Amino acid sequence: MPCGIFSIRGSVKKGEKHMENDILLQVTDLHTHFFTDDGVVKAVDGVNFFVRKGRTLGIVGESGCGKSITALSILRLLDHPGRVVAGEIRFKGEELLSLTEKEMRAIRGCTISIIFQDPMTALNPVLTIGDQLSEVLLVHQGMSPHKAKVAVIDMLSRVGVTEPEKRFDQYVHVLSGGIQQRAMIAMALLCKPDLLLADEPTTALDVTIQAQILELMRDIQNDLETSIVFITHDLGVIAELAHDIVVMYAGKIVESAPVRELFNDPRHPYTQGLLKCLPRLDAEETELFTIRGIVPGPFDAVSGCPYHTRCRYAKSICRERIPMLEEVAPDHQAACWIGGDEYGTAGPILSTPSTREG
Amino acid sequence: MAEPLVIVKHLKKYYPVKAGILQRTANWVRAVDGISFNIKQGETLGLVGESGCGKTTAGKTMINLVRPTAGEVLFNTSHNCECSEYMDIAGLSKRQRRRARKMVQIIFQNPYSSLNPRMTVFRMMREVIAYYKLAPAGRPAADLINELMATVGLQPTDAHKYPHEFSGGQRQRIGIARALLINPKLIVCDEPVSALDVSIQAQIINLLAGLKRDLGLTYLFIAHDLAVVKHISDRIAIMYLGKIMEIAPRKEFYTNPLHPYTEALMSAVPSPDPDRKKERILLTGEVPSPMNIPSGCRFHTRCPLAADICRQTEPELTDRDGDHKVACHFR
Amino acid sequence: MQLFKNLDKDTRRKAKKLFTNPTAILGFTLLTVYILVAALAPVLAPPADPQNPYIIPRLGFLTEPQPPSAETIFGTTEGQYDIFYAVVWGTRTAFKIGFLVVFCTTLIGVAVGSVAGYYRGATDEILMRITDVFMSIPFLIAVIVLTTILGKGLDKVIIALIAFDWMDTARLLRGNVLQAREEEYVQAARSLGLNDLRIIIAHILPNTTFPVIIQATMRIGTLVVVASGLSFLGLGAPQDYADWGQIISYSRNWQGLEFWYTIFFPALGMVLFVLAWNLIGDALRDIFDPRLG
Repeated sequence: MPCGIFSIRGSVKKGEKHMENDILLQVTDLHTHFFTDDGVVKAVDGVNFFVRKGRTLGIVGESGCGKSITALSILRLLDHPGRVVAGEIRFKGEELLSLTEKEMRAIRGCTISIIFQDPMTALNPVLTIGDQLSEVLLVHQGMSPHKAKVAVIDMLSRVGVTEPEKRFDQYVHVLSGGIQQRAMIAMALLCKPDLLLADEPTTALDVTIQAQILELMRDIQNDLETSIVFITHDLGVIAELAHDIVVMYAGKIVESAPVRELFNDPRHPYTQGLLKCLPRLDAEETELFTIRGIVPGPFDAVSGCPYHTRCRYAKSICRERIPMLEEVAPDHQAACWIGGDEYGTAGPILSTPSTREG
Repeated sequence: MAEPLVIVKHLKKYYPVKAGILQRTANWVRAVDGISFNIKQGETLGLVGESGCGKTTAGKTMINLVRPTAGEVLFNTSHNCECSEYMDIAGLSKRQRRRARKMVQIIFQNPYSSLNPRMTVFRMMREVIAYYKLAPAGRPAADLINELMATVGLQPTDAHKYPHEFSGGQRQRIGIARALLINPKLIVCDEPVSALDVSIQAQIINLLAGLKRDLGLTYLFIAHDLAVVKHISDRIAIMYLGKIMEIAPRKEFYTNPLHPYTEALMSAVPSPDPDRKKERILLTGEVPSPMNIPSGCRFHTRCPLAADICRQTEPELTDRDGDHKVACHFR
Repeated sequence: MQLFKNLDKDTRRKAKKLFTNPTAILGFTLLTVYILVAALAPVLAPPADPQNPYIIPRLGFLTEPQPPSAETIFGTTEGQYDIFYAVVWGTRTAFKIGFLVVFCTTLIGVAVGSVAGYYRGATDEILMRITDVFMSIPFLIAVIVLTTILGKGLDKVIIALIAFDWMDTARLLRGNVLQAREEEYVQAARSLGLNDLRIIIAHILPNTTFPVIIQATMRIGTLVVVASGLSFLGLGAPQDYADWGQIISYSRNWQGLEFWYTIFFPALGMVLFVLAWNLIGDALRDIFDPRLG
């Protein structure tokens, strides 16, 4: 049962046997721009995807690709000079972009929650854990402080925080990174949201703690049927947690597929490159494959396909026209002019790695 | 058989925690708690561990940015490590430290903060060249700088730019060039790729590996990522709470990890392969604070194998076969 | 443009703001007027004795101040000293005092602050305690006492001002250096074996210039007022020296609205001078370093 993406014309793909009301979040042609003194940055440049109930969508990309901004756009948490300039975000049938700020506030932390990378900065250092978490319940559900405390302690133990009664009265800085992150997750789950946006929640954690947190998120999804949008640059993490994946590059989606499809049969040269240059525990060769060049900067205008400057298959059409996302296999879409047999399906055996500057 | 280039003996670094009105030392943060290892000339020793294990502190001790509380860091001063002549760089006077600087250099983790934003690359390098009189007679410093830029894969003309005009990966290349300037015998790489994107990481790792091969360098490669370390190290040491738990040659390390912590670490690394059925060893609890190190084996609070002896006695790092050392009562 | 290229995009953009910020524009305009007046002093108010241009010419020996007339645009004060002349040449005096004192105190402050901040430990403690002692002495009183001891004369005033105004800079620098020395690029310089002095001068200080500049501009105004105050009290410039405070001191015996011009013009000169510097300092701070507060 994949989540996925559909073409700009809006038609649901053929072969989809599922009910439309199974789709929780639907993002259509989202454009988010930053209007800075030095020019306009097209952080999100025409992005489409949807998330089904109870499933995890992984958004993968390197720094600057626009994945975090996408999450912030959904919850309309963008600060000046950023703004959503076009697109639709339908959540449970409602168009989020046309809601008032007051209506959005009712949604944030309640039906859609977000957790961030660094809990130290996302949690208020001058309030105790208990106070901060209770506040969510006080505001959204009008609970009394006593009832809220009970609910908070319950949630803290559910997310695996040891001695939750003690932690309730502690301040953020005395807790370890893992517990801080769990507290932040608890805060996000208190109102039992339908959708959880997770923006690189494990990037700053040690790998053993990360393993615990990923396990926790899997459990949460099973228990509460929460849909998750998991944003990360770590392909290993996404392989573990996501059901479906979209790969972003320079503000656009370049490939989208269910998780197994993507890893076994990547069709976009960027995805292929990314997978090949990953250092792996199970790899035998020592020299790493590399993608030459660097990600275009926020103000660098790239004509045609944004990846063509680094792509080993680039042809003249790549330089001239932007490729649209097209179906290359069932439920699997890629935005690339070079298709099919030109480079084979299971990832080509590419020649010696290049190490040009980057 | 050449002697080791570096011998580290019982290295310790404790930070005092002061409290009270009189600021008396209430407790110690035992960042590095007695580690010993060798590095042979031309090899790369990977030093791996999670945050707080002391690996960065250990690395900085070796380059004298941090003064050790105890222990020795012995550098071989003989030509090509033929003899056993060593100099302890840990306890040097200021003048002696200048000589030591020429033997070991460091590459920092953060490419955004390790370059002076007010100096061009050229000026930064020329300053060092002038200070150490590195340019051979008749050759201007500019030649040396151009060569170095090319070696690390950058355009020589870019040397006149300021750090903010470069990308993260390029800045890291500059950091590498800076480390190479004085022709050190050992380079401490302090998480040099952790702050870089995946596609750039690969470039830098390859660059470091290539330089090691071409210039015969020796590295102490500090990282938290076991997969990254695998691609560049000859031997690997794992640290936990200030002590080395296991140390082995690469192949042996990855095919036959003995210490329970190593096993847990390896199983915790998410693999980019959705089909790979992994039995994950989940460690319980959090890492203890370095101010409150558990008695006996410091890993016993989280170890699935923990028994009474683990709570009482700290295991020594002892040899198993194949140059493989482990600190565990059971393995 | 070399200096400009040095700065990153963000700083460069802020520098451009200097030209659009109303406070900055006003401040710079005022300052330009003063610079022009100071530069063109010999033209605007030709000195009677070119060797001693700072001696205010007396147009006669009348005791009573004379109101502005065709000959004397600002009028004359007691003893028939030309007020216009005093204000014009007083501008030069103001700049002299301002720049000299700020320059020296900045040097001292930077030296003390950077040594204290870089070496920390006992050195830091000692230097900061000395700074504290100096700071606890009320500024005006200290300067008055010192000038009384040293004797009359503008140079003595300058020395006294320098002696008691370096502390704020020292503390500012110390804070910045404490922070900068932990930066990785400073650690990198240390690891390269460069000596301390070089690290301080070439690596740390260039990154702390902005706060120092901002603070310096804010101080110039205050210093000039203090110096004028001392001259008014008779402790600074000698009797007929072209200094704003000096010329105001003559109006002591001539209170009353009919002698408004004896105070008004020199005071206006002072007020606008201080205003110019304060506006510039404010604008600089708002644009570059809002934290300084």
